[in-house]
Amino acid sequence: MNERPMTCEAVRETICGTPSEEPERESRKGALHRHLQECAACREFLERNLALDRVLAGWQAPEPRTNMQARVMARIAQMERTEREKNEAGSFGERFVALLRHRFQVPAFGALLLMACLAASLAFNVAQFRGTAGPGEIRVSSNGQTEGVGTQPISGVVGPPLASTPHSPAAATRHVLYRAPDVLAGYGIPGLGAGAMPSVTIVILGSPPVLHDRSSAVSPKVLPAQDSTKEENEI
Amino acid sequence: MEEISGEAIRGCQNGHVEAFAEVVGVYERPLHSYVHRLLRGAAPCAAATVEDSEDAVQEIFLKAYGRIRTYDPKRGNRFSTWLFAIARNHCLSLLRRKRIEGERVDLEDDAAGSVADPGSPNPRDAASRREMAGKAAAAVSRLPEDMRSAFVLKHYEEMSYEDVAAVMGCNVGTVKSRVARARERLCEDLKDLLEPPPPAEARGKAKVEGR
Repeated sequence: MNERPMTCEAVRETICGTPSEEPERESRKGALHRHLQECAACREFLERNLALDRVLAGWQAPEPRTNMQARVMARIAQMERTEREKNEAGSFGERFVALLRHRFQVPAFGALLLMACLAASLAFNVAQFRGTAGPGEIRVSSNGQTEGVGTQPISGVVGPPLASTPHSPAAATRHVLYRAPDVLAGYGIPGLGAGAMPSVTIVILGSPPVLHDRSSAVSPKVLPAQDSTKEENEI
Repeated sequence: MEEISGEAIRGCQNGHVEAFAEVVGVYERPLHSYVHRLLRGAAPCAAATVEDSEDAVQEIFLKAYGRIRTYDPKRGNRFSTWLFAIARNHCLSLLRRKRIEGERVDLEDDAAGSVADPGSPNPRDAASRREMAGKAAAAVSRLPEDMRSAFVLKHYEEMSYEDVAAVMGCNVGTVKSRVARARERLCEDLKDLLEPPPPAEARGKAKVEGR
């Protein structure tokens, strides 16, 4: 039979093969022998690998010492039991209450109360967040104290509440505050034009404070309510 | 490697717990051998004992049981490669995360109880075999994980290149290259043991000349 000659790569792959690949090796025995007779490098490779196999054969992994099958099946039985109990417990609500009773020893109504408190707290925080001043605005508390941008109390003439305050909660209103330019500059509000009476939008939580314009020594004044769009256009 | 019957797998997938006992019975030893060889001596799990390997194998079987319905023979993978892939991933996560406390063990001691015994009564031969096995274990443990895994599956578990590739999720060419490089490294690492002993005549001559 005229067999195709083998390359060094194929010979080395065959040499490193496992006993399960023996039939394939057997089928190419002639070509393998011929290659090994002619190629000294592959002969050396074969000798080194046979020696390596002898050394590696010495290391046998230990047998599992305990009855693995029984242990695994016991764990599976336990898992199945837990799963079955979980399914038998009924609806999600019932299982939740059972979990609280059995695992944490907490009465269900206590847990529900706690969750209600958490929900109320979350709602309150959201309301607070929505009353936060946006860019170019100053948040003022009901006693006239500014928050965030400056630490000094702000003074000026408070305009009427702005109608278009979609993000404000019921308790927070936006007003136009007319102020002398030098005072507003101290609050770092950009875009103040020269000429017209400078103003800034303030967000007030609670009832509007009466702000005093100290720089121009004008009496405190709160303007009557009017159309805020018009107001803004005028500014 | 022995392959479990399709009937047993279908039984497991249909919820027959007892069918899984057959799976455990068939794969318990090869899985334990593979896991032990992967964990033993490898850096984070250097002190992994036979019991640690057993615990790992138990966890692997439990994972396999939980995911048995995801095994689909129509995808062309053997059940053994599917199971060994779970085992490899579990060992990798152990090697990455879990640090089994303890000093690096002497693998020569480890090999003491697990040396292939050709039945020689000579204690010197036994000691020499033990030493050789210990060095072989240490050399294998020094291989990088991808090479070690490919080599152990190919050499010790006698899987085909295709099956090793399926376990490791890479192509056959990569596996061949990893196994070949692992053998090269082992030859280099164990070269003292691979050198053929000088013939008796030459040894005698050297002794005479030495005097």
